[in-house]
Amino acid sequence: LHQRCPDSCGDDATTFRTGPVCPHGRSPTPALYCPGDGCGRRLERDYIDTPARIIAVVGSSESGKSTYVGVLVNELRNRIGEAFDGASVEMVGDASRKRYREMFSDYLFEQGRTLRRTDSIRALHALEPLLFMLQFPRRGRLSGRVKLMTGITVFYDTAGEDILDADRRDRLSRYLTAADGIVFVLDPLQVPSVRAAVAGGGALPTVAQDQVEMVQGVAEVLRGSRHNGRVTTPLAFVVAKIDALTDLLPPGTTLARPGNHDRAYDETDGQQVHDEVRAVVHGWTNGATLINLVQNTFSDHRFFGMSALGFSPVSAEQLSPQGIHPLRVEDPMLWLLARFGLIPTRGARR
Amino acid sequence: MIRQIHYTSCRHGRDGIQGFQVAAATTGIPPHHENLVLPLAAYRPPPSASAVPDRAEIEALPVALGYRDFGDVAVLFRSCYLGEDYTGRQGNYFAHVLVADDADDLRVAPPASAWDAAAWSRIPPEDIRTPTSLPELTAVESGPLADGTAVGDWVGRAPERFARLLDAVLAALAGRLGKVVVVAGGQQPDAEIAVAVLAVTAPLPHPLARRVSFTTFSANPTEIDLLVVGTTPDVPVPQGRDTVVVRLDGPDEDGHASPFTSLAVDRLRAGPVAVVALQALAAEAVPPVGHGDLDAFAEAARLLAAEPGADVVAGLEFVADRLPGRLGPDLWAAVDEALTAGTARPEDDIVRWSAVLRRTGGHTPQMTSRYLRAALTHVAGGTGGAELWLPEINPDQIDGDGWIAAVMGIDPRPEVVSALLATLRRLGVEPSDEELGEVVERVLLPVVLDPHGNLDPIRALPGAARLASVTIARLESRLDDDLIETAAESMSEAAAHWLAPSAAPGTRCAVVIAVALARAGARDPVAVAATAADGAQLDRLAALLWPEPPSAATGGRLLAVLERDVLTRSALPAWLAERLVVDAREKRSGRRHVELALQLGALGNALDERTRTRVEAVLLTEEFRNRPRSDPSTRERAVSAVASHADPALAEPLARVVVHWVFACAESLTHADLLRAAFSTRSPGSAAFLSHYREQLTRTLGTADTAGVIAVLPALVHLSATWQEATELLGGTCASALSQRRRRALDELGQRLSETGSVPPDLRPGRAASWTAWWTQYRASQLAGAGLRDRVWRLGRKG
Repeated sequence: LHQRCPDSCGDDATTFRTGPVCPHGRSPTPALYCPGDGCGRRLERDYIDTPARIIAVVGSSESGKSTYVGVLVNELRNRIGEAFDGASVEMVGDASRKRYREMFSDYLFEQGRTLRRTDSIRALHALEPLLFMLQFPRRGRLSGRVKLMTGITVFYDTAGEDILDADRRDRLSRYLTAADGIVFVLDPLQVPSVRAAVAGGGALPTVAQDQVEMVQGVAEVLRGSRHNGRVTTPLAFVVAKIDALTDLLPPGTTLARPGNHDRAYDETDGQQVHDEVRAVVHGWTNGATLINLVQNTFSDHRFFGMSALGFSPVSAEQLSPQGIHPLRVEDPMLWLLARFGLIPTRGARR
Repeated sequence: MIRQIHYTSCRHGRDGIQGFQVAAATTGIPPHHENLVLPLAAYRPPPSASAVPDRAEIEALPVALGYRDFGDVAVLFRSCYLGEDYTGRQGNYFAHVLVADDADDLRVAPPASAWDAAAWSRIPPEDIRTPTSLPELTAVESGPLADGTAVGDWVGRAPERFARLLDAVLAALAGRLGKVVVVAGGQQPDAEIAVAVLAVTAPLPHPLARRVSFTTFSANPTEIDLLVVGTTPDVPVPQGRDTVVVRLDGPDEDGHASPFTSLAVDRLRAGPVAVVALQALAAEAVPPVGHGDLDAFAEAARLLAAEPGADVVAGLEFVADRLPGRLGPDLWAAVDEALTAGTARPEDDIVRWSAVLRRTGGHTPQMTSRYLRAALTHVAGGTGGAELWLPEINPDQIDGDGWIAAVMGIDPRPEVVSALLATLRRLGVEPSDEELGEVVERVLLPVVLDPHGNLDPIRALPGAARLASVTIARLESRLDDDLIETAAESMSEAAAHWLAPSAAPGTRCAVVIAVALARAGARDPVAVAATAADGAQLDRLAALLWPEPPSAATGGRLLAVLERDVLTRSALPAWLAERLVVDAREKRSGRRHVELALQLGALGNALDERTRTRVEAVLLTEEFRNRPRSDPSTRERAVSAVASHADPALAEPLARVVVHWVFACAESLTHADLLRAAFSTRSPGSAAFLSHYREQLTRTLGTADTAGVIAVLPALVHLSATWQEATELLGGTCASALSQRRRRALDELGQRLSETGSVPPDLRPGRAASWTAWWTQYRASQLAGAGLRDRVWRLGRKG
């Protein structure tokens, strides 16, 4: 890590490897900076001091990745905290706070607008991360003492079209290969059979990208030069916008009610959702191919279903006047957090 | 060749995907160039923009006109917000990017003049399946800002803001800043920033202007990698040491403007023609004008334009070094104007003027005259001047004597006067003898006659010999006899060295110089003394050279080199003899003293009596120390030694060696002769002789030296008939000593005395009939109690 000279070094100020004094013998500024060539970004102290887990969110264009991230952060900060005995979720650093406010919360929760289109990684110097710190109180089973489990989570939101272009995938690879968990958001409304099934029921995405191709793109990036074996990075395969699929889900589906993740990730519930979603997907166009592709590519995966908004937007720009009522938006995240050991798991695993 | 890129979120684009992509492009743009330029052209609306802006709001959003030269490719772009894309989602924008292999290929200089140019596509083509290739362009026509009106107005309205922005940009070009964030408010902040960037870059030399990358708007100034980043007040501006924020939306404040800034303001207000002329002038500079040269370049530009207020010497330096083609009558005419107006003053920085005039030619008479006066004034000010360039002039044009008189009136230090003299000499001006005499009187003589005076500046002068001659003349006229010693004492070695070649032999100055050098160890005093022409001169020199008598060695050398005639007519021999006495008194006499005495002795009768006595004493001492064989001649010299009237210091050692010699000879007659001489003479020599004689007599009688006793006693007995001193010696010293001897020894002495031949027949035992009778009587009267019993008794009493 690097530090910088204090202002008193004037024009001679420089960046140097961390130490008690700068090259001019003065106390450096406390801030720490990335030592990478051409980077030099300021690093948040919490990010350095706390183990961080990187979660990349990928998926097709218009699948609602950004919306998912925006709503998830809000859920984590509010509702999930209560469910986990006062767990706290806070953005780390001015940049994350500013970005979340300007790019997500103002639109979704203040103005009731859909989010702006995410620019391609080609037009960005680097993916802009959202950093937040999670602190979960956890009571020891023997001692009874409360221990605080702390972790930093870094979200990278990507543009859907970047997965479909080889050059852009290359640029994404540094983020995906570094990720500790991947959330793949699948837009069911871009699946031909689903589009046909729900036609007339609301606004459909103008694009319909091949979801199998999308998963293949992600797999390609993660495999890298390895052509054999499965990817070990946990993959949460999330079918989004399930509010639009009400008629296509089986009666009494667990997807229609919130998950029961009280103080722990409910593994039983998760398994049940996994089974149901997989079954639903299996019935779609190329569904079996998609499931096989996921199973054969990712050794650690789970299917989820969620609705970030609860109601479909009334237009491309306007959310439903009924507001935002997310459903099971936290499931993939809690599954990953349980995988990371930050929260406990409840219920049997198969 | 200019290639184009259209980038936006669309359904049908070149990249064949749906979303943000290159919608269309000229073929042949390398992917890595696209990757370089597209991040620059990315657009995000300002935070205060409506989430779902209508058409009017979109059109009011700031446009990002940007430029950057990457070296292998230069890019000019225009990005604007479109609002929704084909999906209806907000966040779409359209970037029209022009990519050139070289910035000059863009043919729009400076790049900011492309603001609102007709070449820009403002909206993407219809999003349908159409060919996605774009044609190459040959040039980008400038926009409405190119006429300079808006820029001139803006600079006129806010010169201080312009100055701050320009200073910041120059600091960034120099690497002292990483980024300049320009914040503009109002109805068209992007347009104002375009004007500001154009104002800053238009007067810059082309190579510098090329390096000023910019954008007229970015909602994220921290991230974009450009040198000048425009933004709006609602965007949080980055804080950091390497970022400076210039606000165009605040009130203008008075402040200091650099020369280049002031010039830029003037030229921008004058219009594009003046700006182009400035660019053209900058283009002539070799090597090209850098960011650190702009102020000097500005001074040169003002000077060449004969504008008042220029720093003429700075401008002249720049022209001389970088714009040699502009060195000519027009330039010097402009300099003359500045000199006349008083805005150029060579005396204010003569060193810089000297340097720049040295490497230029064609100076006008006024320039030369003003500079020369300034140079001489500088020299007269006592701050040196040897390094100053001097023009070639007619020496008659300069009143050298007047300058010298003036300097001596102001600062008569040798270094100042010498600097002036040197400068005048470099100009070919020779001062008059009268003025040099004044210099000598007022400047040089006080230094010459100061033991610590520093003559180095004078000695280093090319015409120092003339000054030395004048100094000698002046000094000689002042040197009375009684001042010679003072002058010799006061003159420093350096001064003596300097003056020596100019001093004629035999003059007082020559004496003073020689003595000064000898005293300083720079000349052999003996050699100096050898220059004396007569005894009087020698005496005078000797007195100056040797306040104390010279050493025996020096004396020897003096006697060896000096003419006998000169020597014998001087007091030097006596002075040297004094050295014999002094050293003898201090027991430091040695071989050299003997040699000196021998050399002095060689002068014979030329020596005065006293000196001769001293010399003889030394020589006799040396002779008898060697115990010569006794013969009549030796005895005669021994007698004269005993009677020596030399100083006690010399007589005493002489007496000692003579006593030793006479006892060694063991001749009664010799004893008698010497004792007689001692008794009959009252001199330091006789007194010392008797003193030593008694001591030696006691030692001789007290030992079993029968031969010694037999030599002494008859002499004493013989002289006792005449000299009471001899009687006293017999009854005193002899009796006391012999009383210590044993009866048998005394008997033996009596036996030896009675033997025929033991005592010379000339010596008779006084009234006694024979030596046996005398001995018997002497033993009875003087040596009673000399038997064993008496000696034991005496021993017991002592014990």
